[in-house]
Amino acid sequence: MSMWPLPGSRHLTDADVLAVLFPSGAGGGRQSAAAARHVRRCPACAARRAELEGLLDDLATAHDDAFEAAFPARRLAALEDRILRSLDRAGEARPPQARVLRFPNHGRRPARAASARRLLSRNPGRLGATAAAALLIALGLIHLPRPAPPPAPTAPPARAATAATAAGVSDEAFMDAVEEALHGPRVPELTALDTLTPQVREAAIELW
Amino acid sequence: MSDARFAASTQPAGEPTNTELVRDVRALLASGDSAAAQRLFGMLVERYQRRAARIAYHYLRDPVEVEEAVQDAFLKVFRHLPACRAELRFDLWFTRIVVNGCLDRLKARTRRGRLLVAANAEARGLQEQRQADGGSPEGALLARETRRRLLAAVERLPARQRAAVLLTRFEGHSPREAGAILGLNEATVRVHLFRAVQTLRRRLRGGRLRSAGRRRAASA
Repeated sequence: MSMWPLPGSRHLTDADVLAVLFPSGAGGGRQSAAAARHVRRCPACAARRAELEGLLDDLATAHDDAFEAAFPARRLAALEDRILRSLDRAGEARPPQARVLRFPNHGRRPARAASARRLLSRNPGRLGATAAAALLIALGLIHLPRPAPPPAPTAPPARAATAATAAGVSDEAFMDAVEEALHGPRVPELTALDTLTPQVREAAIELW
Repeated sequence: MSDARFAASTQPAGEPTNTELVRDVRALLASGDSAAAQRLFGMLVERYQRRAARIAYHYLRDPVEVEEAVQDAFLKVFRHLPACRAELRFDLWFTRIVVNGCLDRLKARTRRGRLLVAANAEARGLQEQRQADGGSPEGALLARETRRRLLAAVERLPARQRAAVLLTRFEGHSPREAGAILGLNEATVRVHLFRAVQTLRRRLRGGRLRSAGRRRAASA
């Protein structure tokens, strides 16, 4: 750290001024002694040393004042009593036993299953509605027309156009199934779906 | 720097040294005489509780938490004394335990985001300082403001730099002893100290500190 004498200057570096304030032990002692000799001869470096010392002293004084204000003698005496009492208690108490904590994953699965059971018990109709929706989708898929055999390879059709056609057929069939279900009489199996989406039927009736 | 600051930590003439006390406490604990060990350990408490409180106050600033930290440190030392290496200097070992305990508390405080607690502690500290300042309200206010400014500058230092200033300048340890407490070598402590001083000078430049330094130089 020490670079004394400062290159191009006859004065000490800040590190050397600090070394004068904190004389080092073995190794750096000779250097800090030389710096101390320089400080005695050089008024500028002596002023820097005094400034640094003043700063550190002011900090220490501020710390002392704050501590004295927070910890007057009676508080320190009370603290000492408290420590001695706690030592007494520590002497009487048994050494702390090791605690074994359960790994958190152990309890997670049952908790999740319990929450699922709780959800179903709160909404018993939801299970029926889900089953009915699945049934409706399955019916729609069954009534789909079988896809036409692939056209003769006279000219390769564009892939996008094929996809659009297939999607169009599927959608159309599906919408037919939905329309049929909406216009037809209320099937008991589908009332759960109506419960799930109550406004769809009314909206459809208004439109059609 | 005055030596009076450290008077509480040096043993009075004719009383056993720290090494002797530690040796005797260990022997009593080994023989199962816990009560006698506690009585003897009380002498170490008497010698070091002030210093421990000063260090803890530097870090925590909350008198209640300081008391807890100091009590914890002494309990920890008492429990681990039988396992302590005999060649370790008691004061360095103990100071290290206090510093580490305070740093743990600061980490826990940060984790829990105890802003409310810190605010309460600050308010409590101000209240206590107001009572202690006594004198005129203006003088007390000025003194508090100066103190607050100086301490705030130290508190904003990185942890290692702050510890270097605390141990070498506030608690009177040599850089080598501070290194033993912090688990660093002496040169590293000096580097931290140097950087801390540079930062403090920069932050406090232009204030009363500089003029105070010049006054000291003129009087020297």
